[in-house]
Amino acid sequence: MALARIKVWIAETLTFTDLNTEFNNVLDNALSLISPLTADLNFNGNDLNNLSTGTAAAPGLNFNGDTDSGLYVSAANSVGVTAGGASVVLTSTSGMALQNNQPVVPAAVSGVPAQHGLFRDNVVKAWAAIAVTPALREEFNVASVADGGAGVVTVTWDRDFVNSDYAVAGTALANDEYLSAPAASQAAGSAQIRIQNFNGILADQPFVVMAIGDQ
Amino acid sequence: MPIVWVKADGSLEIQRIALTYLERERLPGEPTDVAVMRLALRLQSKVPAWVGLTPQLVTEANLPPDRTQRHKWRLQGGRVQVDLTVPDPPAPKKAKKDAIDAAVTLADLKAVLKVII
Repeated sequence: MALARIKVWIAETLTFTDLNTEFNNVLDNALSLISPLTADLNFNGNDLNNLSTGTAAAPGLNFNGDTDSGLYVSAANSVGVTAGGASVVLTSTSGMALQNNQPVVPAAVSGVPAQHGLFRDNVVKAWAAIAVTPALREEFNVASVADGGAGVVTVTWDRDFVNSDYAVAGTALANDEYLSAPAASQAAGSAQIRIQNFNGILADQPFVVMAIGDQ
Repeated sequence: MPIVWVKADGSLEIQRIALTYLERERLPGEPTDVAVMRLALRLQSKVPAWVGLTPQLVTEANLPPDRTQRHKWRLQGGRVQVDLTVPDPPAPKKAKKDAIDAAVTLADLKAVLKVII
């Protein structure tokens, strides 16, 4: 209830009943003096303490018109950022962990790259460990592999590159074999890998490969 | 489940869909062979050499277990078989070895070696 004057006083006798009514009104509705605010609140360098810990669905610190986005405490010494009621980031003494399969999407580099900087330009976009069959042993962002003959494997990417101008590197897991760079068959959505020995002979070998470029 | 792409010269590319990709993209209740074929067609445009080809499913059991004659694999009657009529590719160094063998004099041999290095 908003705090409002109970009685407009005039020249009259002050009764204890009227006094009690006025004071009770102030005491009972003290919160309405500051909440909701009608102007900016200046803490003047003081802390705001003892907020509700909240939850991911209803964070203790949320914002106008968006009560399921903000900050909350998931456990002691663990602060979370939530958006749309779902936890996005948890920070704790163990570090920062992204939640619910959310990726880090770094910005594109501009100017001289910052020291040790992570940019979308320098992130490995795909990698795979491929057995002789050829079959995938481990992979990221690989949709399929295709056996094109001895030592010839076509890797198709799950998420394509913007064009064929990306870097592919890898190595064959054998002493006398090496992985040659994909040649004319490199496309936005696939790359043909050739494994050959130092005599130039294509040969089946397990290998690992990774790709870096713009997507 | 392998997918066979038959190229114009009859040679084959044998594609296998990544398991994580298959399981993520599989429609509810979709049989594996149907899902694999659907995804193969989706991925076809990513590989320029496959554009215009028709993928065919085979089972792992219908692939030769031995890869030593991989270049002779051909799709015959729904199975991948070794076609012994397919010639072997030329040995990569046969021409150089023949040139060395044909050298009669030291000068001949030097000439061959200069080409090789």
